[in-house]
Amino acid sequence: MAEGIFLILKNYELIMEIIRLEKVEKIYRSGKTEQKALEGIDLSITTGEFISIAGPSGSGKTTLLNLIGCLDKPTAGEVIVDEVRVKNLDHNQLADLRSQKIGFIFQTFNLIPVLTAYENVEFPLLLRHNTNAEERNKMITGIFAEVGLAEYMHRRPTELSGGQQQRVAVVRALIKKPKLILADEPTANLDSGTGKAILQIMKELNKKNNISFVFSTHDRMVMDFASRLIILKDGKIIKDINQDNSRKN
Amino acid sequence: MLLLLKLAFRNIFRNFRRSLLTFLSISIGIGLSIIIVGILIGTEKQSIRLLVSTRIGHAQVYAAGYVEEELTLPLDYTISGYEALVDELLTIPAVQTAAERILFPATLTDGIDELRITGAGIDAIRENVTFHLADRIVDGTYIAPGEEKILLGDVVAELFGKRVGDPMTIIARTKYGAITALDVEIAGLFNVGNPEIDNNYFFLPLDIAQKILEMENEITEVTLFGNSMDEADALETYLNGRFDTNIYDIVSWKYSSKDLLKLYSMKSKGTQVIYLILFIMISASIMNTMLMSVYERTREIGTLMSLGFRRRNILSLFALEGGFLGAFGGVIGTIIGGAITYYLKIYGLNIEFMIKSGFENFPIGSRIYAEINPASLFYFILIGVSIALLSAVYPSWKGARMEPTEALRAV
Repeated sequence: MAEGIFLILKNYELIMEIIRLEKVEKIYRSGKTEQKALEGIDLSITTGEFISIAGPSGSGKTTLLNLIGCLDKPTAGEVIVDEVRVKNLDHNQLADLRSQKIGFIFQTFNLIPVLTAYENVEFPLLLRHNTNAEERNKMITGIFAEVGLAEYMHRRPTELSGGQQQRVAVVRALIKKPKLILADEPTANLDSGTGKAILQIMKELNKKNNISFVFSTHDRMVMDFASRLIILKDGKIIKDINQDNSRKN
Repeated sequence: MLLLLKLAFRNIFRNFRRSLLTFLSISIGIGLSIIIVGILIGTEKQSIRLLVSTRIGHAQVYAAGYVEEELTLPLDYTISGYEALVDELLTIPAVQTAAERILFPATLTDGIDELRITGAGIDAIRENVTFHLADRIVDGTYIAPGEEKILLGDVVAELFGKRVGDPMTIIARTKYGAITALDVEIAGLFNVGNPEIDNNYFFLPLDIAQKILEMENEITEVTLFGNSMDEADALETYLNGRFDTNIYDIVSWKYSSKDLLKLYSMKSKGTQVIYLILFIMISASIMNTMLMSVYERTREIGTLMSLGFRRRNILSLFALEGGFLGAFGGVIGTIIGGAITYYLKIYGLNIEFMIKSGFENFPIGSRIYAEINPASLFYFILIGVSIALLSAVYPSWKGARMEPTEALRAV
């Protein structure tokens, strides 16, 4: 069997490992000062998981997301994304890996302000060069309708509410059908109702598309939404709970 | 690429006021450069054309040895039997007109004041055919052979406080060095538009000049016009082949205006410094705009990277934004600069104030006409784009070398 992959037949679904972290360590250096952000992280994420990473500020949540998302490299240890060892990749290869396999959702939405909602969603598809205009249009209008944003498609981000922007950001992350979507505090800038609605959408898309979602949060409600809860403290995983099992029990 | 172009194009309108200021600095810089170049080329061409049309023609024939000492207007190197020479010159198809002259140093006096001046003994008819001198008379009449009369520049007449009909005395040295003098009457006042001639020359009939200078049947030069200034070199070569160079010095206008050409070549170096300053100003403005843009959009750079944008895409995006600013600024600057230069080509620019403040003898006239070469305007657009692209390189590089995590952390 290929390294970094295991297959489990569970409820007649094919489960594949898409992320594996082995003894990952991340140290930030500033002059002579060193700050250990992550230490001894071992983690495996499989397809279709809906994971929440929680922990106090400075516990290493964002650093962990950055490493999983190939935005950064570990100081020690291995990050393996869909069989690819990140350590050996250069900037361009990392960019390509992100483009192909990972979607991002940000706390501040981070839509490109000069592009309309439609164009923001089209952007990742254009970077991949594997669809024609007609296919793209079909995909984008379909997904906008799915999340109830069809009538806002041609508006610029500044003409949308926070919740609408975040829904566009979710759609942008999802449109290229990545293996994994990472969300850094996706509801932190939204009111609780809107935040819950966004989480519902993410959960539905997670179930429907079998795409893994990993999001960091401080919010208890968001943690409860996840099927797996990973709690970090001082750069270490102190708890990794399967909440679905806990709820059943 | 289309995606990059779309993003870059829209981004330049994000901070409209800043883009507008950058755009204006490029437009003004390029526009001013076109106007300055147009005026300088116009000045250069106009002054040379004026020198050619009023003084040196397309080519000159002197006695051998004359050109070495032409500044002193020597009477030792003369052409004898010039009638045959002029007749022969006029049989050459490439020669349109020719006029014989004696140029000599003289002093002009009214008994109270005196002025060192150049006397020009001319064949009145041929001079008029060649230089249209009779058309430049602003007061009085033209001169005729045998008359002891002179034509004086209106400026010089004003300096002496003289009018048409007033007497003057010419003092000069004969060919043999003896001092001679002749009382003459002012027949007319001329203004040929070339301050060098208007302020420093007087004309008298050739036979009278020959008489006072003891140069019977002798002249110092024949000035001739061929088909065009561009063909003057070929004409000079032809004449040097046809006539004995041991007897004649034959030179084209380029030789005779060499001092002026040298002056323009020195001036063009000064112009390059002006360009450099203008281009540094444009460059600094673009660099500032692009750097501000990179700093303001740091998080957006991080987002683009997280979406899969490569470093070279970021570099290209900012470079294209600079390029767009340069292209728009360059096009508008070229249109405005070109239009103003075209206006100056048609209507000219009054520079009387400059003439009166130290450029009295500069062969240019009181109105200069700019030159404009439509093809060269494209170079200015190209320059605008090139400067903008070059100036955007550093800010773009700064944006592209950011680490995605660092960029995403930006507030």
